[in-house]
Amino acid sequence: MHMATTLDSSTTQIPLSFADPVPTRRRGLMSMSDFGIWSCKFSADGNEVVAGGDGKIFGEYLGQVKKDGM
Amino acid sequence: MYYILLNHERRLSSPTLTVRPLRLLPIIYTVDNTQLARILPDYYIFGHLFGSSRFFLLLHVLQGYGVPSSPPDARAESSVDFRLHIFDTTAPPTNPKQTPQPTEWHHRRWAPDEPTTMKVMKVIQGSPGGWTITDAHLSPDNERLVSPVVRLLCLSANTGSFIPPL
Repeated sequence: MHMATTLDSSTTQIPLSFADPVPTRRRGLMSMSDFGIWSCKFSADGNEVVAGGDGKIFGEYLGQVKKDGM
Repeated sequence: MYYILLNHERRLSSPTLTVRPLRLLPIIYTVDNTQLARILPDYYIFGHLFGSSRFFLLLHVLQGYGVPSSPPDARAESSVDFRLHIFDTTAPPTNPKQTPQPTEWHHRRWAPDEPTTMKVMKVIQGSPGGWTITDAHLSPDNERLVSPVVRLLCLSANTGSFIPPL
């Protein structure tokens, strides 16, 4: 998932990762849990992003991201 | 008003190339019957962006799909790039020379920089190397856009056909 501005000339794109930060052992290797995200929506106040896919729903608060320039 | 086009660019890195036949595709009109954009073979409607009726997406994929020839039975990753084109439909039309003539449209592939005369607000370069987006949503203030990105795969390397995940 990536977030970009629309009304300015910035080329910055901020990746939004909903991955579980705890590594899991898969296929004999230590790896991050992976899943597909197919749809995403901003919250009504624009402070959160909710994403869904592969039977899971994820949410991310954008407070720090917005402070970083978006 | 703002509209978004998703523009995939084919990088012809493989000697194997399959070219799809040209076909006439429709034209997008707004509710007031104003021509918005021609749906070229490279562009596909992605739909109105949820959260703002002012935005919609078109998916742009070139007609040629290069598929690595070795190994022939292996899944081959596509090398498609894309860009998001954001247009302002409230601004006066720009660059009217981009409008294709009917003879051009029927006899050869028309590939302008933009398939519309709407003012370009911004072009966002997508992740290179065979990625595309599956959705897009604007923030309530229309200042930010989020999109999930997925990998494009060619699942039928023998025939060279390309199966997008849309």
